[in-house]
Amino acid sequence: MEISFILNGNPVNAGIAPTQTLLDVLRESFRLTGTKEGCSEGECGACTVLVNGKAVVSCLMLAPQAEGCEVTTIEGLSLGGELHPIQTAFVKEGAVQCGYCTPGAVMSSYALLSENPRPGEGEIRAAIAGNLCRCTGYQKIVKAVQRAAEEMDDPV
Amino acid sequence: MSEIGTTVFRKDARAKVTGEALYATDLFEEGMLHGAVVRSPVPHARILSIDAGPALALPGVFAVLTSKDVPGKNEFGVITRDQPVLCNDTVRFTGDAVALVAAETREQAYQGAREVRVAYDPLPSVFDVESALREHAPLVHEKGNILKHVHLEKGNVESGFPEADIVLSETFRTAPGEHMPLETEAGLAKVSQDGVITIWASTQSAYRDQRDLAHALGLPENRIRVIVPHVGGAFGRKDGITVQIYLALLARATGRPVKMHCPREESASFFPKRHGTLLKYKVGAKRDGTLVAAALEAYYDTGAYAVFGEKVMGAGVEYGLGGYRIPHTQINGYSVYTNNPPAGAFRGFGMPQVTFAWESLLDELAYRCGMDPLEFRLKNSADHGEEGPLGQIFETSTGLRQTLEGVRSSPLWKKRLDLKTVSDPFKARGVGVASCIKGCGLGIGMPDFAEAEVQILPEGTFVARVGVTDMGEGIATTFCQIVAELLGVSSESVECIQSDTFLNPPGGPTAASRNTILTGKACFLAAEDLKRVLCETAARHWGGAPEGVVLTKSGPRMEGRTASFSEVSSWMVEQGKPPGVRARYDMPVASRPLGYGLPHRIYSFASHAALVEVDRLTGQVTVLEVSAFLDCGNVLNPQGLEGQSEGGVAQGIGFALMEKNVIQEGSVLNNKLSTYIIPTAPDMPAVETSAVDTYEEAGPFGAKGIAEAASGSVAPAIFNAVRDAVGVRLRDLPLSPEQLVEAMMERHES
Repeated sequence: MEISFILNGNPVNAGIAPTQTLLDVLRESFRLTGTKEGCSEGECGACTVLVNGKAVVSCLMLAPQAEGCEVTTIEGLSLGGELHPIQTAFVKEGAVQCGYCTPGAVMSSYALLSENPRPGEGEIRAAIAGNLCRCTGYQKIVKAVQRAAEEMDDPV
Repeated sequence: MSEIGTTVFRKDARAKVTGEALYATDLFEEGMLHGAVVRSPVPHARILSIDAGPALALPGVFAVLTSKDVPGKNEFGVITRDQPVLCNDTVRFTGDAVALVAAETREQAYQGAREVRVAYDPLPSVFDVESALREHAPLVHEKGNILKHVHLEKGNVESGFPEADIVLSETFRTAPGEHMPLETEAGLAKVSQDGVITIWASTQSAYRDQRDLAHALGLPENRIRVIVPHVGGAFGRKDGITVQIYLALLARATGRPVKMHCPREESASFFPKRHGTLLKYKVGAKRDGTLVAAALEAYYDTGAYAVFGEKVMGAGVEYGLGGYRIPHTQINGYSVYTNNPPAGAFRGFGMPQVTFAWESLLDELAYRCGMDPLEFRLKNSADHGEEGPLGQIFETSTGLRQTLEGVRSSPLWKKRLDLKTVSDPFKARGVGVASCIKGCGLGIGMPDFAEAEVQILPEGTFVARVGVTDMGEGIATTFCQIVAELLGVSSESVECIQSDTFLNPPGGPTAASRNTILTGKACFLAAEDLKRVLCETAARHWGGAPEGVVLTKSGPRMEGRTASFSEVSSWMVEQGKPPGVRARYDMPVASRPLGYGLPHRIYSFASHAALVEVDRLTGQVTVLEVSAFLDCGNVLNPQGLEGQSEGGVAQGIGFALMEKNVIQEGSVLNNKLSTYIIPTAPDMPAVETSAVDTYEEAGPFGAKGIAEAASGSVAPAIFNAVRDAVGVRLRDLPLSPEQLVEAMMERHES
């Protein structure tokens, strides 16, 4: 079957099998491999993308459900080569180690800051509770989101 | 020094936050097939027959391979090659590999794997070390169920224990555990026209893999090329063969590129885990707290195959009595085969298990002596130049005492009595401390060296080519800092190119807290040599003495003349010089060998203090604060150190309170992230990290490795804090809230 949706700001079409997940279509049809597969069961958060502005684990969404939706992946955050403030904050705070959870954590943080521009520490931890990270111990990810919130709130 | 000791952002961070960084799972090739493994559903059996017919009849299935299709030696293993690539006549654990399937899609490959019909004749199995050691126990391998026994003695425990006023004997158990790297085992293989098989793999050990691949494929090593893309976490899991041989076999047999990407359940069920252990300790001290004698019997369940079993147990032996002065010691270590899934390397390499038990026991001993647990440790900790518990000499930087003094001066420890106060009557709080010791490097008898090549590029920037892999810890950035510091340039103009067995010099595995010292020092030496070459080149071009040339950030200078690095690079070509120099560094070896590859010469130490809250009704333990004091020598990158420390604490908390593989009759029951629980962001307390002031002469700029020690003493600090909070001590890890509630009730009743 064929689906149409908005991917990182551009209208796209894809020929897919109805049982394919959005994750597989992003990675295999569009080769947007920044969205990672960590478990395929919605348990790790590595495949988090934005669907109509909400954070969604793309391994649990069937591709046909994306019909007509606006989908943003990690590649869509730094269009034109300029890093998004969240991405810059992840770099500067040392929130990246192996990096496999990073795109998902960045996307969850993006969804959080869109809804709640000045979250408290507990709100940040809750927002990324579904993004498992085995390397960092989360402290620097939390700091990165705090830093991004400050910088986005107070643009220089 | 401008590059060393300051935070340099990871060189790969930008590629990772944008999603550009490619991992093995992200590789696609035109016309590629997908591979899957047919695995044994039973823990121990003879293979009667294999029928690939039904699988081959499925749409998309391209090939099925069995042991007959392994052209070289059908075996692999890091030290003991006891694991078949594909089982020929016997399977030894649930998940043992029997056949391989290649198909057009990943789904078809796994469907094909389910349709390969294998007939088994079950054999008796054994699932725990005690049963495995019984007379007439079923044999996992013909040679017997003891893979290795290590026996070490110092002084005389027979006369030592009677000298003690207080003697404790305790048995501890630790559960097998799962690494759960976010990226599972994955790779892609391709055969090129010249017959070279290239394997892109998520691995920590490209060069050893190349050797093992050549062995199994019956090819010379120069026909096998291993390249490592970004690695999505490993922690020991990927230190060796996972899917590499399967990929090469499938690519060679089908003539098409083949990719494998293991689903989470497969990853968490069948690849080497952290060893479960049974640890029997006895320790004696004088009433004043002086340690007199200690004995340890350590049993490590290596599962069906050795992997690293003998060495992991050896590490348990080496670290099982910490870094303390003890005149009389005796240690017996056993690495034991069972029909459980194999166990291998996991951050700490056998050390966290014994550290949990030993540091719990020492804590109890301090209570019995009526001493503060921290003062008790300080009283017994060995210093530089002194003899350790095995009879090894601490002949290099030894910071155990400084890490303990760090804890003593920390706000957490100073305020521990106030912190215990809690208004909720159903809650209790406590503070605990523990220490650990971990050697840097592989130990005596294993080749332990690394090479590095530092090159100047025509544009005047530099490249460090190394044989090891940054698996997330940030070591590649550290190498750039080292090279930049020596050449006097910014680390921005240095790039690190990692594992490619055809293009880069060998570096051994990314493991054993060895890379800061080994590859780091090789980079140091190569950069130093390249600096000499650059100065000589400029001097020759300008007609002067090399001693008169000074390197500045932009290039060489001599008596008012300046040039850019790019110009020097072209002069090197004119003068017929190669663009780079290579250096090698060998891990220094202990001057007093103890046998069995023991001991190490260089050790890192750590001490952790933890504040916990215990729910008296549910037994739930929450970690509220952790302070880490690390002896890592001179700090090269503070942000990198904090990253190692905070991640190490998270893994330590998981190890202490959450993580346990439930293995029933050899089957892993919790092989998902929803059933095998690892710490999430809300589980993590504030972590405060400090490095103590030590300097390791052997390491680059005084540094040594800390990856493993940074995690090692977290769990016992938590258990000791629980003891401080509620007065009871548990001896099984991870801590079970049910067990804790029972223990609290028992204590209440008595």
